Amino acid sequence: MNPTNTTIMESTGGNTPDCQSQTLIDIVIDNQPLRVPQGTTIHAAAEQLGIFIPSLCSHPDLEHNSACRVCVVEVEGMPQLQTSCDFHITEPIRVRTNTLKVIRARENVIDLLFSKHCGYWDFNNCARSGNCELQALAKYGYSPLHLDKKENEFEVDHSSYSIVRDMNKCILCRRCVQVCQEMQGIGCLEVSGHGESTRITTFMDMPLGESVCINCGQCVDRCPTAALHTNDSSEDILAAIADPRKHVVIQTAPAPRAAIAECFDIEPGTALTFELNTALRQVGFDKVFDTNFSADLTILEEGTELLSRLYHALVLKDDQAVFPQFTSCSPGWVKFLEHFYPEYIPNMSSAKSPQQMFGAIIKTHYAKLAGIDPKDIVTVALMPCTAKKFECNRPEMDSSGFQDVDYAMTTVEMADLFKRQGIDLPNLEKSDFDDPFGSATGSGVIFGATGGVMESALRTVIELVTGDPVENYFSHADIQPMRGMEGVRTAEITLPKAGPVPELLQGVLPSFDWLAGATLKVAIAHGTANARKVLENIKAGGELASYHFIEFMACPGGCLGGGGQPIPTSADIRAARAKAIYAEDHAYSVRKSHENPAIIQLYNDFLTDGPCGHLSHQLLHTTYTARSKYTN
Amino acid sequence: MDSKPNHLLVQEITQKLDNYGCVRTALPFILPLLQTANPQDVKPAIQFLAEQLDIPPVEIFSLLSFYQSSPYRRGTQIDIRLCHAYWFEKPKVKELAQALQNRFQIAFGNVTEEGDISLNWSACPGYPNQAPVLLVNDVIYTRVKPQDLDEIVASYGNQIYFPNFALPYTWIEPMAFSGLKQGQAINTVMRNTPRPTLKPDQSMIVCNVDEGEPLAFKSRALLSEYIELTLEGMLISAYLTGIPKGLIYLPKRYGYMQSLLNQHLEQFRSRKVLGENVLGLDNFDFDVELLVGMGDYVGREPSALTAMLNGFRPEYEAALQPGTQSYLIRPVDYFLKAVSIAADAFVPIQDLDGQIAQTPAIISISGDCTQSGIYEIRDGTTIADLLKRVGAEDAYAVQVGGLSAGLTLAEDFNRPIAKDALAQTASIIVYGPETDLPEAARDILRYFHDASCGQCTPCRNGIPVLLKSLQPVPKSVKKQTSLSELRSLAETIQLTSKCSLGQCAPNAYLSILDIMEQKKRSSRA
Repeated sequence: MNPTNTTIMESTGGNTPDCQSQTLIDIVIDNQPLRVPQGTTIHAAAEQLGIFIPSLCSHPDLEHNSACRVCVVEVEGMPQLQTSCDFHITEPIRVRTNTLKVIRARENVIDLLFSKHCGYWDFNNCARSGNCELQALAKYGYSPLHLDKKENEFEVDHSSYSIVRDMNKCILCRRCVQVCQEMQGIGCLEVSGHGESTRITTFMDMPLGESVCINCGQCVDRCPTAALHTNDSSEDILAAIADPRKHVVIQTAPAPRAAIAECFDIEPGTALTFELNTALRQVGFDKVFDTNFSADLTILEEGTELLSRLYHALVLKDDQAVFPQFTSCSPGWVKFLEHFYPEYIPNMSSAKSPQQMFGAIIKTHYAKLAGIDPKDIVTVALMPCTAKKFECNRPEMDSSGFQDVDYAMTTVEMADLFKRQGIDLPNLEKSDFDDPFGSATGSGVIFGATGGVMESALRTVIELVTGDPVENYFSHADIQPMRGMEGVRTAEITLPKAGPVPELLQGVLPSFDWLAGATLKVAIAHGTANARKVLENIKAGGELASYHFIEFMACPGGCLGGGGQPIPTSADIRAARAKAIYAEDHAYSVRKSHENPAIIQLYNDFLTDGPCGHLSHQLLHTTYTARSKYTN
Repeated sequence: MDSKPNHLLVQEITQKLDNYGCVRTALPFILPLLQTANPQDVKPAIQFLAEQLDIPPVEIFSLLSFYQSSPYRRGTQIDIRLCHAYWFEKPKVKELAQALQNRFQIAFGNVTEEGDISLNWSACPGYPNQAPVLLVNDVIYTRVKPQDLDEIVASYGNQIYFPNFALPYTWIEPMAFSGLKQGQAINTVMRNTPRPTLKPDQSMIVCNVDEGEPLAFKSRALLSEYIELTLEGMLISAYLTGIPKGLIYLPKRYGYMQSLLNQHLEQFRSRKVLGENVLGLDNFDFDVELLVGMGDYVGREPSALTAMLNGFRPEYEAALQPGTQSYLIRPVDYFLKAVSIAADAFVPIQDLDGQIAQTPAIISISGDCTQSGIYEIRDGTTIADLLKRVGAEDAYAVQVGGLSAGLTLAEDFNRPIAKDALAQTASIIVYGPETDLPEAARDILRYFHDASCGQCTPCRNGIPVLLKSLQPVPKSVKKQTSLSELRSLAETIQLTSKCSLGQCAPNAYLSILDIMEQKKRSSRA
C-alpha cells in the first residue's frame, strides 16, 4: 500500500514568518545592540532582548492591523511614534521603548481604550475577568486623563445559542472581523460607521442568532475582552444538579481534556483526562462518560455509510450516491455548508456528531439500563466548541423523544466553574470513566485533531475491508499522511485486497470483492476558509471532485483549536495540544473503533440491526437544512 | 423576513454593473443609489449586489454605513442643502437657516410631510467667503439672503430649470497655464516625446478634486474654471504613462459640478479627444469617467481613496485583497501644470512628476481677507507679502496648510512660506483680529471628528475628548480633564495616530490653547 501525499492547493495556516531574507541588520534597542534578519519586527527584536512591549490588537494568527496603537516606540529620526508590531526592520535603526514620550503616549492610548470599555469598574461581573487582555494592560496605563466612565449604550445580544455579543465592551481592535473573514472566510462580522460611531456589526445590524454566523467561536477566542463571549449555561446545569429528581450525566470530549490545564497556568499539551473525571464528580455530575465512545460509534456509522455509498455508486450505479462524502461531526462546518453550499448537502454524511449520538443513546439505551425515566435525565457535554451549543438546540435533535443533549459547555466555562467552586483540577486524584460506556479507543481520542476523524475511519475501513490488521500497512496504526497542520491535505490509499464482509456489516453489503485494488482518495480541510477552497475546487470540477471522502473541521487545527478552548490560542499552542492528543491515542490498548468492546456490545444488545440499520437511522443519523447566504 | 427587491433599483444596479463591470470596483458607482433609496429597499438591494459580486453582504453594508445617511430620497422634488459654514461667516448662515426652517416648517435633516422638499446641511461646497451658500437641486447660490428664498423656490415650483452651468465667481490669479490654448500642449508632446512601451503599474489616472478639508477650494476652483485644460492634462498624463483610463473624483459636496463636467466629457468624446484611438493615434485609448463620492474628505488620504475606489472602506492603508487596483492619484493643478510644462516641451519629457514638483505651489486662501481666491506661492514669498495680495494686512494669525496646521502669529509673518507646509493641504486660512478663537478651535475639531475613519484609537477616541472640552460644561459634571491632561492627550494623538488626519487634528487646537493662555497671562500682568 502506497499512500501518496500531494498538496493540491495552497493552504492557509497561521502567520508567515516575519523574516524570510537572510540579510542581517544591526539595530539598537534601548542602547542594546542586536543583529536581526531583515524584515523582523521591532516587537520581535525587542523580545529577543528580553524587552517586553505591551500590545493589544496584534495576534499571532492574524495579519497586523495596527489599529490599537498600544505598542508604540520611538524610532530615532522619525517624528511620529511607530507601532512595533508591524514595523519591519529594513535598515539600521535606533529604537527607544521606554522614554517618557513613549510611556505617556501609551498610557493615554490605553486610557482611551478603557474609556470606551463599559464595565471595567464592574469586572466582578465580567466573563473574561482575570483573562482579559485589556485588564492586563491596566498596569501600563494608569488613568492619567480622568476620562468619563462610559455608560452602557447597547443592548447585549443574547440571540445566539453559542455566542454573546456585548458591544459595550468592544474596543474595536478588529481581530474578530479579521478572524471571521481571513481565517474562517465567513464574512459575518464587519466594521460599520466611521469615526466616533465606528462599531463592529453584522449585516444590517442583525442579531447574531439571525445572522450567517456559523457559531465557530473563533472570534470569541481572539476577542481581547468579553465583547464576544460564550453563552454559558452553567447556572442551569448547577440548578439541575441541585434538583434531586434529576440524573445529570456529562460526556467529555478529547479536546477539552488536552487543553483545560492551560486555564490553570499549566503549559499547553498537558492532558488532565482523569483528574477531570474526579473534578466533574465533585461538581456533582452523577455519571461521567467518555465522548470517545460515541466517536467510535460515529466511525462505524460513518464508515459504513461510506462503504455503502461506494457500493451504491460503483456496483449498483446509483446516481443518488454522490461523492465525495463529507464528514459531519463539526457543527460549525455543518452550518457553514448549509449557508454557503447548500447544494452539497447530499454529500454530507447523515451520521450525527459524537455529542448528539451519545445524547440519543443516553436517553434511550442508558435510561433503560439504569432504569431512569429519560425525562429526568439531563445530558451535558463538555466540548471545545461553541457551535455544539447551537447543535444540541437544533430542533431535529430529539430522536430520543426528548432534547437529546440538554447543554453543551466549553472548556473555558468548565474551568471557570471549577474555579468558582474551589476545585483544584490539576492536583486531583485520577479516576476512570463510568460504565457502561467506559471503554474507549485511541481512534476516538484523535477526533480532537484535524485529520483525526479520517485516520480513525481509515483504521477501521482498512481492517474491515482487507481483513488485515492496519499495522500491516502503517506502523503502529499511525496513518501519518492524515496528520499535520497544512490547511488542506490529501492522500490516496490503495486497498490491496478484499476480505470477507464481517458479520457486523453483512446487513449492508454482500461482498467487498469490488473494492480489491481500489484507491481511496481522501482529503482533510480545517478552518472554514480552507473548506471554502475545497468546495470551490469541487464546484469547478477540479481534482477534488473525484475524491471519495473529505474531513472538514470548522476550526483551525480541528476541535483542539475550537472556539471554546482556553484563550489564547496560537499555532504553537495548537501543535502542543495535538501532541497531547496523539500521545493519549498511544496510551490506549485498543486503538480502533470497531474493536471497542462497548461498541460491539451496543450493536449486540441495542442496535441489533447493525450500523446504518433501522434503529441507527432513527437515533444516530440526521438531516440538514438549506439556509440563506444572508440570514440564518 | 427577506423583503422583495425593488424592481427599479435592481434595474439601475444591473445597468451600472454592465457599465462598470461585475466587480467590486463598481461599488463606488452603485452605492450612491442606495444612499437615497427607501430604507426598506436597501437590504434586498445589498443582497442582490452581494450575489452578483460574490462577496459577503456585510462588506457592502460596511462600506455603505461608513457614510452619513442622507435624509434626501429620490423622488423628493427639491433638495435644499445649506453649507454650515465656519467661524468667520456664521451669523448670516444662522439667519438663513432659521428662515429656511420657518418657510418649510421642517428642521434640518428632514423631509416635508408631503415629501417634496428635503432640507439638510452640506459640507463645504468650495465657496468660503461667499456664505451663505445654498445648494438647490445641485444648483449653487452664494451670498443668499432670506429674502432671496422666494425667488429661488418659486423658480423650482414653476419647474424652471437653470440650464446654464455658470458657477459663482472665484478669483484666480493668472498662472502659467492661464492663457494656453486647448490642444497646443498635447500636440507638442506627441511631436517630441515617444510613447512608452512598458505596461503601466497603475490602472487608472485619478484626478482627485477632493481637497480633503473644508475652507480649501483650490481643486474645485481650478476645475470649474479650466475643465478643458484639466482634461487635456489627463490626456497628456495618459500619453506619457500608458495608463488607459481616467477618473475624475468629486467628493459629494462638489456633486453640483457633475452635469457641467459630463457636458464637457461628451464634447471631448464627440471630438475624438476621448475614446478609442484618441487623436488619431492607433492603440491610444483613453476615456475619463466621473465619480461623485458618497461622502466628503476621504480623498485626503490617497490610500483611503484607493481603498474606496476598490470598493473597500476608505481607511488609511486599509488591508486590500490581492488583485485590487492601484491608481495614479493627483490633484487638479497637477494636470494643469502638466499642460503648461508640455506646451514648452520641445525635448522628450522624462520625469513629469519631478518637473511639476519644481513649480510653485498653488493654494486657496480663505478667512478674514478681502480677496479670497486661488494664488501661486513662489519661492521666498513671505506670509506678509501674501497677506498684502489678499487684502488682509491686519491679520492676527494664519494657518499655512489649512485646518491641519497650527496657527502662525503676526510676529512670524516675515518668514517665507515653506512649500512643505502646503503639501498636505494647499490652503491658507487668515484669522482677523476679531476672531473668536474657541469657536474656531471647535469648528476645526468638529471637522476632524467628522472626518475620522475610526480605525485607530487615538483619533477615534481622543478627538471627541478634545472637542468635548470646548463645549460648555454642565454643572452636574464634577470631574474635568485638566488643561495639562488635554495637552498631553493632544500630543498623544499627534504622535500615535495612524495617518496624517489624526496626526494633524490637534495642531490648531494646541496653538489656540497656547494663544489663549498667553492672553490670559498678559491680561493678568
